[in-house]
Amino acid sequence: MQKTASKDVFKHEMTEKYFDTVYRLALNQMKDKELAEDVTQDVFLKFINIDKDFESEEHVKAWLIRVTVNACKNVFNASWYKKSAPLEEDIPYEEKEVSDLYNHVLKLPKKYKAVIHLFYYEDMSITSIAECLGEKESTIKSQLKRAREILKKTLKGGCDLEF
Amino acid sequence: MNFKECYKKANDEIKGDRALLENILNTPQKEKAKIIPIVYKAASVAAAFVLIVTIALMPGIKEKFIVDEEVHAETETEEVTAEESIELAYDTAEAEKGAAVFSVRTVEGERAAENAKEKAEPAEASVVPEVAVINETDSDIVAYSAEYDETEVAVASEEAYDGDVNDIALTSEAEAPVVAEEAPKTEIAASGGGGGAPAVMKSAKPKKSSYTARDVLAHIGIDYESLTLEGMALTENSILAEFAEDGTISYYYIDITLSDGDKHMSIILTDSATPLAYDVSEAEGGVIVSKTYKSTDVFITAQNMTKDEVENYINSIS
Repeated sequence: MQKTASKDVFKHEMTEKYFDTVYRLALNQMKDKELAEDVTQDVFLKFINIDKDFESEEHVKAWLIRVTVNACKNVFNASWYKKSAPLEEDIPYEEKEVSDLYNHVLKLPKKYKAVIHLFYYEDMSITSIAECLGEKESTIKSQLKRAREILKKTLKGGCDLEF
Repeated sequence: MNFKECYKKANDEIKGDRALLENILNTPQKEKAKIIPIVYKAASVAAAFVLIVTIALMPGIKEKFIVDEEVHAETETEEVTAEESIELAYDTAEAEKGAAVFSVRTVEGERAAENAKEKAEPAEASVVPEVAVINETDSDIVAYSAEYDETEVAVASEEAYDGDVNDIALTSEAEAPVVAEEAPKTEIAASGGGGGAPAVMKSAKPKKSSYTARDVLAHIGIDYESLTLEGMALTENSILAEFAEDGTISYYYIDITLSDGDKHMSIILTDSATPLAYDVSEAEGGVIVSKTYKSTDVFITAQNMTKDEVENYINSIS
C-alpha cells in the first residue's frame, strides 16, 4: 500500500514537472493548441495508469517524449485528421525575431521539427534523441543537418543563425 | 542572439493550460484487476508443465536420455572389464563409423556391448531433428528489414552524416561516408527501419528487434496470422513494447506494412487510451480505416486497394 502511495506521489510530481515539456513537444508536432492539449492529456493518462517502475527522472522524461511522439503520429494517421486537418496557427510573440524563428521551425517536416526541438530546447544528445525516436544516430545527425540547412535558407535576414 | 537562445526564448513562453494539468492530476488511477496477474502466472506454470511432459514423452528423446533398465541391470552384475567394454562399445556407436575399440572383452560383455550398440543406433536414428527456429517469414522479415534499413540511409538527399554536428557549413557537399550503426540497447526494445524503395547501400547490416510483432501480439491477444494477407509480404517497420513487473504489457506500438509491389497497406497497432469509433474513408486514391479492437487502436492506410478489401482486412483481425 505504502509502495503504491509513493508511486502515486512520484507520478504526480513527474506530471507537474514534465507537463510543459510534453505540451511544448506536442505543440511543436501538432501546430494546434487544442490538439496539443489532447495529446498531452492522452500521454499523461497513460503515464499515470501504467504499472511500471521507472529507474530515474531521466527515464521518465525519455518515456514521456517517446510516447508523445507516437501519440502525435496516431493523430496524423487518424482518418478524421487526414480528411480535415485543423488550421495551423502561428504562435504570436512580442519580439518579431523570436516569432519568425519559432514559426519557421513549426513549418519544418515533422521529423526535423522533433529533432530540432529535442536538440536545441531539451538539450538532449544525439544518442538520447535516437533512442527516444527509435532511429539510428546517423539518421538523427542527417536530419539535424538538413533542418539547419532549411532554416538557414528560410530565415535569411532574420535571427542571427549561429548554431 | 543565436538560434538556440532565440528558440529557447520562444519555447520558455509556452505553458500548458493549468486547468488541464489539474484535471489530469485529479483523474483517479484505473484499478487493475488483481486476478489477472494470478491467472497469468498460473497459465505460465501450466504451459511450462505441458511443455515438459510433451518433451519427456517424445519418442527418441526417452530412449536417448533415459537409462535402459536391462542394460543397466546387466552391467551391474558383470565384471568390471565388461562394464568398461559396454561404455567403450557405446562410445564407438556414437563416434565415426569404422573406429576401433581397444579393450578386453568377456563373452558376456560382448553380448552387452552389442545390446548397447543396438540401443544407440535406433536412438540416434529416432532423435527428432532440430526444427529450424527461424521460419521463412522471419527470414523474409530480416531480409526486408535489411533492405529498408539500407533505404533509411539512402532516402533522397538524406545521406547519413557521421561527422561533428557542430561542424556543418551550408554549402558543404563533402559528406562523410555512410556508416551503419547498431541501435543502442535500452529497456524498451525497438526495431527501426523505414518503408521505401529497395536497397541501394550494401554497407548496412540487417537487424532484428528484441521483440517481434508476433511476441507483442501474443501478449495483447491478437493473432499474428490474422494480420497477414496471401500474396503480400509483411514487413515489421517498428516495434515498441514495455512490460510491467508482473509480465503484463503496459505499452506497445507496432508499425507494419503489407505490400505486393502494387498494393500497399500501412498498419499501426497501439494501445488504446480512448476507444475509436469505426471509421472508413477514401481520399487521394487511398483508403483510410481506423477502429479499436480489444483495447488496441488500429490505423490502416492503403493504396491501390478497394474500400471493401481494406474493410475486410481490418474486420478479419482477430
